[in-house]
Amino acid sequence: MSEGGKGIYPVILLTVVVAVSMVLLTMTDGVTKEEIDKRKDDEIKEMLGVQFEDMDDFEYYEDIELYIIKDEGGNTIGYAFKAVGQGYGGDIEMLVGLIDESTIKDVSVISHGETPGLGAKITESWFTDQFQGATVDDLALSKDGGDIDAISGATISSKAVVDSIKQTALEKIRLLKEMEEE
Amino acid sequence: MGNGLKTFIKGITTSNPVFILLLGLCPTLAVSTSVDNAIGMSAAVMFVLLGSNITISLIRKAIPGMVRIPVFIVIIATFVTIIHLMLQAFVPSLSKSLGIFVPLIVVNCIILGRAEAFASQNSLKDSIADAFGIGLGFGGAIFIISFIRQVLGTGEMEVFGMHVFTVPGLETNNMAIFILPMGAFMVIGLLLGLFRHMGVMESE
Repeated sequence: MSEGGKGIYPVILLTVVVAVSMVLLTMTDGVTKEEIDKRKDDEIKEMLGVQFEDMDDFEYYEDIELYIIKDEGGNTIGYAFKAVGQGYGGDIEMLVGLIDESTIKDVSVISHGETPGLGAKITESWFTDQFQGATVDDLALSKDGGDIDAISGATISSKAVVDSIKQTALEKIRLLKEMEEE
Repeated sequence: MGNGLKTFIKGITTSNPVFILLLGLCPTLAVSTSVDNAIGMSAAVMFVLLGSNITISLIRKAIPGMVRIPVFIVIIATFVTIIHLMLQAFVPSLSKSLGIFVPLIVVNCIILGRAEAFASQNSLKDSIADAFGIGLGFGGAIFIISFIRQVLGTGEMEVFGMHVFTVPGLETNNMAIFILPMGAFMVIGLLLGLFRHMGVMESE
């Protein structure tokens, strides 16, 4: 390691190192992106299948980003959408299923960056099961007068989940109604 | 004994990162819940350590002392991001169970420590030997800890879905505390004490 570090040389070296790193990472991203996206798609299909046992097929409405779940006879048995909440450790991505235009079927966490042992408990079934059959309009943590118990020590994560589900659900329901009227 | 071999063995024994240098304890404690995780984590750390040691040793004469830490961190972060994306794409189940601890390899002090203390001052050959030694030292330590935790905590040993053995009586009365963080501290503390007492791993 050279002791010299005068002038502009350190700046140039650091810039070169960062540039090389960027090229390498872009290349890696190019190789892995397709595979990662495919895995995510498969995962969503699987999650939808778990939430809606009678699901035979689903349609994805791209403009309003909503999955319409169909049974074998082609009848609509529910809806699903992705909700993203701002957690303690970044975005919490969830898949939310609806039975009809006001009741939640189930919630599955797709990805999150919460602290293991605290916020990461949002993936545990005792927490997500609380959403089953809940009415969208009444969604709130119990300390705010609702029925959802927060995870102790992880209020931010719990609130992010509840708030984002409620907001996104209300928005999707509105968009769905608008679309049906047209 | 060649210099490279000496460096390699030193990494596992007298400068074992976990038991002697007490570095990288956070991932050691957090990821040693099962042998699967321990093996996955060790492989990821080994990859990053090897990559960063080789790169830093190769360009060590060009790095000005003033910006060495930023340069080290960029190099380490690059390798970590590569392995993180690769795991997500090709071994998603492992990526899921290791979770946040893969990106956190960036701040794993073992790797920055080796860059600063070894790779930036030694030849390529020695740096590779050091990476293998320290990597195996870390892997061995985390393997022992996770083995004890998994056996006591679940009463059976299962590696990548393959059943290895069951401890009679323990499988029904498993001590779940050893899977919890508390158990990690107990196991690592007792092992440290044991190794000190036996004198097998004297620090220099």
